[in-house]
Amino acid sequence: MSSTVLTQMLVNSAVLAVTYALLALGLTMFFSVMNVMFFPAGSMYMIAAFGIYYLFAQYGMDYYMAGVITIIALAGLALMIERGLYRPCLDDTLRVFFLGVGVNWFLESAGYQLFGLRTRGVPSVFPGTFTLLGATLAWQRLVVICIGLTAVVSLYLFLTRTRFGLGMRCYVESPEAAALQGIRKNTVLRMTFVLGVSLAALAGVVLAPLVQLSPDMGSPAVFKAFLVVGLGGLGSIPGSLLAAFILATLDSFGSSLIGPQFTWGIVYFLVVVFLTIRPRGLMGVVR
Amino acid sequence: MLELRDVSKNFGGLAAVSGIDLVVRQGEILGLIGPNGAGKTTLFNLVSGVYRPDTGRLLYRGENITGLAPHAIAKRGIVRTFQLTTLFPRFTVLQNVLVGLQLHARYGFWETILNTRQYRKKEEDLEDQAMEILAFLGLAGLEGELASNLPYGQQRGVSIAVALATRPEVMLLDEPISGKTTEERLALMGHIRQISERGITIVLIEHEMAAVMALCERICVLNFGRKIAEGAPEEIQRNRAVIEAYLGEDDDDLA
Amino acid sequence: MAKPLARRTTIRAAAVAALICFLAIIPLLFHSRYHLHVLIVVFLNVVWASTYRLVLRTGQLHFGHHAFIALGAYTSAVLMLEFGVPILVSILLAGFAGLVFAILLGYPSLRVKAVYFAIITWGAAEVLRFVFMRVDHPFGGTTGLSGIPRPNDFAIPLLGITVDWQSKGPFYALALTLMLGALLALYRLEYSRFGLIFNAIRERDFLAQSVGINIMRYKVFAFAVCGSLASMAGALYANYVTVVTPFDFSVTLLILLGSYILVGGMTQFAGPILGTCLMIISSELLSGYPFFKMMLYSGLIIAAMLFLPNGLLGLPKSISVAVGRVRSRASPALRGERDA
Repeated sequence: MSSTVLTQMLVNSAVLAVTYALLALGLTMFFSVMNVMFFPAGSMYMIAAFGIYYLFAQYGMDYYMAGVITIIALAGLALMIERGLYRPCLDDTLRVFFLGVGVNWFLESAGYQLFGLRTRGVPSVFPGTFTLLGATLAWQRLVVICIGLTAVVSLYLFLTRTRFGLGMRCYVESPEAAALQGIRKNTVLRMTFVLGVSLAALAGVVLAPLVQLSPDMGSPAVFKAFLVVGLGGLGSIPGSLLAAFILATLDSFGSSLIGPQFTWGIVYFLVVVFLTIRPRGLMGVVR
Repeated sequence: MLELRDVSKNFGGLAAVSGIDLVVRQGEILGLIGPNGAGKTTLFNLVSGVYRPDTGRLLYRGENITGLAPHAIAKRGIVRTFQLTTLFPRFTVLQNVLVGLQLHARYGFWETILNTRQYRKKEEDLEDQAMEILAFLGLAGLEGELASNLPYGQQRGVSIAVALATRPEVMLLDEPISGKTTEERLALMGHIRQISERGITIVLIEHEMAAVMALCERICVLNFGRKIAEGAPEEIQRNRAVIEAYLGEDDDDLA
Repeated sequence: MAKPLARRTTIRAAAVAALICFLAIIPLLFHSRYHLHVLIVVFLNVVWASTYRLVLRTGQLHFGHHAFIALGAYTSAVLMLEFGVPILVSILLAGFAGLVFAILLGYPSLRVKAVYFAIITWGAAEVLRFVFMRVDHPFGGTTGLSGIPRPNDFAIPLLGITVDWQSKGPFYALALTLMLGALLALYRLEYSRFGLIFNAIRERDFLAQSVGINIMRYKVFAFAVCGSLASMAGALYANYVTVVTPFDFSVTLLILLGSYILVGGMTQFAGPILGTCLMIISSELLSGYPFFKMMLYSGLIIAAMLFLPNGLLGLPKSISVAVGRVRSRASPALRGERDA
């Protein structure tokens, strides 16, 4: 294999890893706090991408502005969903889960209704290419990798250095102890929603110039993210990152060599077998 | 009857139970006492198959039952109750007991589907057996009540009824008496004696020292996961190690 | 309760019997192909939704039920196309395939914690779908399998009827029979000792274990029964539409089935039946507006989760719970306040 192809595949994996990581991190946080898979992350991702399409590509707004506005808008939507829909239901996991399914489906159908079936594209924000080790790579991809890494590092800092972050982690460990410390459950929930959805929205914003946009782009992405979270171990952030990295590498190399469908068929199979043997995933916590 | 040989269990470096040798004789009422955290419930968990011991063996009637699944152990005749009252809160009292009766009920798939006369007869028999057990424990008339609606004392009785329904030879009772009114306590002690008179071996974890001293023929004392004493109630009361273990606890307990 | 229990049960039984008779003679009364088609679809979905519900009622977060449907459909199709197996035999064999698959998948995975079971079953369904999609022979790859043969028309001399497989009649009869048989089995299971054990496993599995219930055996049993029934219905479906593709049995189907159960009421046996009928009929009424239909469906799910956690059949319970809440809010004494 030539170094050109290898380099391209590596960069590709990095981009994919970042995508999966952003989505999976958001989902992991939801899972640690609420013990349930947050389906609507998929539609949030999709809406964010379309937000960029309309604001940046159609309307001509500055990319960063558009990105920030989109993320804030979706965070707001997340808060509304949390307050109105989720909070009354949180006692029953199955209920919350199907609520998520319903919300995701609703947003997706709304997406179909509003955006139609046609796929769109968003032009590159950082056009042009550069060469690295003989391979031609788009700047856009490098930017995505950088933004993604920044987001992951920021999340890490947030969770370990700020009061809110530590509060959230304390709540995950033990809600009772957290209550004694004055950490309010509602605050933690709101924070989880905002962070989780923002990560998903960031993924959408950042990937918009790289992928084909259509209203059904959310579901495959979120399913893959579930796989990442499941493999990494539900509730474990380092696990999710590791799993994102592994799956992205497999995805990238596999897709180039044997085609995406074959790759994912094998990946699903391997993950299922792995989880049967080791249900807590790579680094999951046994509670 | 029931034998523990050098049984130990660690949890992440903390020795919950270590080097326990214990023999439970058939038909006796054995008390298992010790300060909080001494490992008593862990021992029950080990015997009933919830945990697998790290070392040692568990023998029942000569058969090695170490590492068997909980349902297999119950099938062989050892049943336990849990410390926090556990029954099926959303079932009626009758349904609770019927769950316990499943162990020895024989019914097949096809006779269920076709609702044969045989099947219906078996159902009636099971219900009669359930009512018998409830009557024995003084809970007759409550069979239609939702288990969660009952007062705590009666719930305790129901969980014992469920255990009895499995026709056990050995019952491991985890704190059945603590925290109840005097009448309830006396009634329960009476029931435990009656159960013992039926030939069932009983191992009792209990903090109510008066009850332990009155009911148990032998007592085993644990502290920090080790057995520190074993013998008749009078010996235990005088045993220095036991008294030291309980120092800081209310001395009146032992008097 | 106004009437004594025995009389209520007899009345209910009579009503059900009447309904069944009515359903049985529908094809003789109504000749509209469209209506018969809708009913056939409803019958099959009722089987799928009811079997799904039973697995959920053993406390398992099952995300792979659509795999059994797909398996049944493809098994039957392959058997008939490659090996010329007659239709009824292929349906039975499809059921057997479902049984085997359930046991193979269930034994290792039914032990794990709920959420992981969800991921594993969903993953298994994806793997199966992938296999059907990529393997061209004998599964037909992405184009699937088509032209599943209809059985030969035959005549029943005594009754003077010709069974014409081109009409909806025979398939209607088959679907109705399968549904009634499946519902009977599920009903008898639910209201028997098996049902009690399933509920016990769902409510407090460690307690069930401690009184000697082998929870793995019962979970696998429920999984296998439901899987094989779903597969049989899947096989019948394949024969009815004569075409199967990998895209027919996606997660969307699973979500639809889940929503039928939730809207009708998960705790009640008749819940999935009611939910399926309601939603499929409303789907047919709205068939001109696909996206609006989806929004309505998802809206229904959301509404159901918010306001009707016990579904429509659980409405009385939901109402009494809500009334109880309102009452305690109104009365200071019930709220535990001091003398108001």
